[in-house]
Amino acid sequence: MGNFVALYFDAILPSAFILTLACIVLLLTAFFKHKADGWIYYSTQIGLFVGIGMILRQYWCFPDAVAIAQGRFRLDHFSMLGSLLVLALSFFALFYSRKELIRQQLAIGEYFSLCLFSIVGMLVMATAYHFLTFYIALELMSFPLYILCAYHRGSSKGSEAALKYFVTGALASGFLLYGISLIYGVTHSFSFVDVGLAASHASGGEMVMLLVGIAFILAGLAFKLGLAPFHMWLPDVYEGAPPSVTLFLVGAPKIAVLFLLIRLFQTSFIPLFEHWSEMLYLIAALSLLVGNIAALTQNNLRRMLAYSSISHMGFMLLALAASASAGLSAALFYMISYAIVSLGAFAVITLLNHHKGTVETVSDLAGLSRRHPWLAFIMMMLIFSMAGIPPTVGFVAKLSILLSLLAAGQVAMAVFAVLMSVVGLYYYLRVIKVMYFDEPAKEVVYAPVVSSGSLALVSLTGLFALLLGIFPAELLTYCQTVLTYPLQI
Amino acid sequence: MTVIPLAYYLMLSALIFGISIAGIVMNRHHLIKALMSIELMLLAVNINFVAFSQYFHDIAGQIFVFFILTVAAAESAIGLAIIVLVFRRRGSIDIVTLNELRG
Repeated sequence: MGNFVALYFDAILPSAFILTLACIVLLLTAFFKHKADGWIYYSTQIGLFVGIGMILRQYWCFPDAVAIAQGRFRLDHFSMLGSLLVLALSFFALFYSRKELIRQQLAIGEYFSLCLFSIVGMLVMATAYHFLTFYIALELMSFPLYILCAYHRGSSKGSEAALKYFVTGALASGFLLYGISLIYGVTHSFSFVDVGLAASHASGGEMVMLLVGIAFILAGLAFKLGLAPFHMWLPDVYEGAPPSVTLFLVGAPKIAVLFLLIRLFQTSFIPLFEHWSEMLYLIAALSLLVGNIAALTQNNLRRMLAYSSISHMGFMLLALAASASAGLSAALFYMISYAIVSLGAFAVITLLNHHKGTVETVSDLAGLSRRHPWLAFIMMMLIFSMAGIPPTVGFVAKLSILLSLLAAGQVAMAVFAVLMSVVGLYYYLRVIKVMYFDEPAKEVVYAPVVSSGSLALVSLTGLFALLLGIFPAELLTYCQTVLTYPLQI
Repeated sequence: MTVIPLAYYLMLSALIFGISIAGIVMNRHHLIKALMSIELMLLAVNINFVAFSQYFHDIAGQIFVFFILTVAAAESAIGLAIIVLVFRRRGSIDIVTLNELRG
């Protein structure tokens, strides 16, 4: 019994700790108002670090997969990697938030507490092994994000973005629930494993109902990942939300949703692989098309990056559709590298915001190479990586996805993906051209004020894009090892 | 006592689900209507869960419904708060006026 309690304690420790931290931050804000701002910022960041330490301890405590709470959660190296990435990416995003919040004169305490609640949702999502846990975690992640989008109360763009995000998000969770109810109707269970077992001998009408359920769940998750044709909210939210919130949105939530997607589709729906793989191909191809074509005409920088993120998600999904096992590691590698690279790019944009003027359109970057050569260089590395130009990590990621497509015999799809990447080059290279060769149009030209800490952290992402592009083997093999866990039941 | 077949419940819930989707997609003017449609959608799902749960004598489906009801309450609280914010900024909650972000 004592052993059981200890196991339980170790397993839920990181999420329980972050949850407690969120409540403490909320209380500090309620009682001390603005006097506790510094405390809140530092305790959040240190707390996230401690959370990372707790997950590293889990690596050592749980060498094998364990199911907790009658199989409602599952703890293995796959879920631990997910939690680790969520915490690290959130740490990175929150690092840039404080200065931005002070610049916009927004309250600090509630912001960090909402972010922490959302992080708890993501952590639970990475370990979820049951539809009820999955649903609650997804909503716990999403609700604070809706509020955060409207965090700047004076901004009408922000409230509009929040409203669009809320309505589409609610629609998505409705789809998701309808899918879950159909799957419950066929399999009589909410557990991922039992659903997988029941799915393997479904036939006839049951099979049809199961496939409709999978389609609904896929639609719900595609909403959250921002895949076409469920992407309408994403450009509006990226543009309208406060810059620090956009920074939080691009990294951790997508990682959490992807980890859940892999877990769900590999554990529960794998017997029906050939059926849902066609759905994934359709969504992926549509996302590649819509994302790349729509990004061509964008002038707003964050809107352009939003459309580019739609196309990246499509690219990643191709590998999930291509193969039941080998393509997965390519998809995971792609997602990890893209999350870090896009976080870096948005961080550069956030860093350039200044009380004299903000970076909104692509032409606002004009002359950055002279105003701040190092930031321009970092941005160039990140943009190169997004475009998939060697020797950056984006190239390796795209290559491994194309290889897995070819291995699955999907030559037409691979050619289409390459063509769409070529289209993408146009708008990526435009950013670099503006940064290096264009004269700034504005009369007041200011040099960005960047603290050494934030410069070091953003340089780390640029360095990462370069180094991981030259030495990708370790992470790729690690992705393969980790992915053996969701495949074994 | 005659038992109502499961298929009838499923048809009812599919019908309500369809109405609520139409309510969100076709609604061009009033945001409160969109919020009501969202609630309706979750209730349609609840019919499904309870019907399956009753039919299979498995209590888990009904427990799921409790969670959905709780989450739906939180969801409409957030939705109403955002609508109040939009109304303060623009003095109207007509969907047509939400056109600052486009492209």
